[in-house]
Amino acid sequence: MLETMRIPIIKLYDNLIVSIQVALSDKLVRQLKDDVTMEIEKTGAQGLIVDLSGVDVMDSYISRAIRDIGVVARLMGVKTVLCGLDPMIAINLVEMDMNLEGIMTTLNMESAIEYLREQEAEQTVPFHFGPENE
Amino acid sequence: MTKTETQILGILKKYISSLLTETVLEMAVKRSSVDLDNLRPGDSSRLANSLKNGCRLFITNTTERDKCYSDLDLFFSTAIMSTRGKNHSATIPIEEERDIVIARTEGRNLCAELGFSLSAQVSVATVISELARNIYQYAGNGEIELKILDTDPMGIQVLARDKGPGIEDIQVILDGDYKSKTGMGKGLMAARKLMDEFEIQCDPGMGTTVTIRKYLDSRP
Ligand SMILES: Nc1ncnc2c1ncn2[C@@H]1O[C@H](COP(=O)(O)OP(=O)(O)OP(=O)(O)O)[C@@H](O)[C@H]1O
Ligand SMILES: [Mg+2]
Repeated sequence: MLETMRIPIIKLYDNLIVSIQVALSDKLVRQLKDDVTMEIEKTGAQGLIVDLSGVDVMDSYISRAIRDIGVVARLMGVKTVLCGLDPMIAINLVEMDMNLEGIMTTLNMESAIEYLREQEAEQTVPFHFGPENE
Repeated sequence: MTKTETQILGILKKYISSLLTETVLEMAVKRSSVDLDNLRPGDSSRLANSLKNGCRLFITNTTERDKCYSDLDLFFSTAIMSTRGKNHSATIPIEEERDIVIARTEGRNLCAELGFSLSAQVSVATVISELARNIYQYAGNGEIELKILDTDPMGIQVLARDKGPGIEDIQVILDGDYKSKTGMGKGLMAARKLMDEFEIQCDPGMGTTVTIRKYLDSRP
């Protein structure tokens, strides 16, 4: 049963939402990487939210995979936000000298959605030439 | 009244009025849905937390409260030693990928029962995950042995053992100058940094044995 388990990916408006609520085996992580890539392609989503609140540990393999997901998503034009990372696990990540560089992280799902919404709003501002202003 | 009940009430009486102790215990037992006569692995940490929540209502002095908490922790960690056996150890074979998850979950549960802080539980589980994955990746198979250390303060020992190729450039790895082809080269470094004691024996041809120990009070 464990072998066929998959982490569901939900499409909500323009975003894909992944909520990890089980201890991640390496196999599950690889599956997730493939599935997310496929879903992005299939749905043309703009944003990706990965909820890590149910993750038991972020060891080197898992954190690298999460980072990879973010990088692949970015190459496909999709913004990734991580949320719900347990504070103890966050501390542990820092202590292990590992980072999720370049991936936006928010406290919870709500702020993740808000962040993506703001990003989208910014992008729809008509493009104009001229000196850059803040 | 069972022995466990008497002992817990004994602790509580030192800090709260004896009129309240039984209520606090009763509530905690109910809330954590455990059977005092038959505490199973995992029960004690839940019960301990419920008891602390109960005590918090009645002990306003924070120093007293912390003392009560640590008395409870000590009691439960001793209790687990007697239920699990003083020389409790468990060996988890690492043969398939999913054994990595099994090993780290076992380790985390044992830490929780012993009263390790949440952050220590996460550290130990993460290190077990690294060591088990190394076994699986580089040696094919091996085992993880978890053991309670009957020391003062109490601790946990994790032994990761395989009969694989050993590690030739171990010094380079531990110096942090290692560029891994297969990963980030963080696993062993993390094991050394996050744990209180770290030993490795990995002479080529002899397999690899990594031993780590983490003690209860070492860090919050
Ligand atoms: N049990 C083992 N048997 C043989 N070689 C090992 C073993 N454990 C580690 N090694 C060797 O030591 C190196 C460093 O291991 P370490 O776990 O620190 O990093 P990694 O596995 O390369 O990457 P990461 O753990 O960050 O994904 C490995 O690349 C591997 O060559
Ligand atoms: Mg490794």
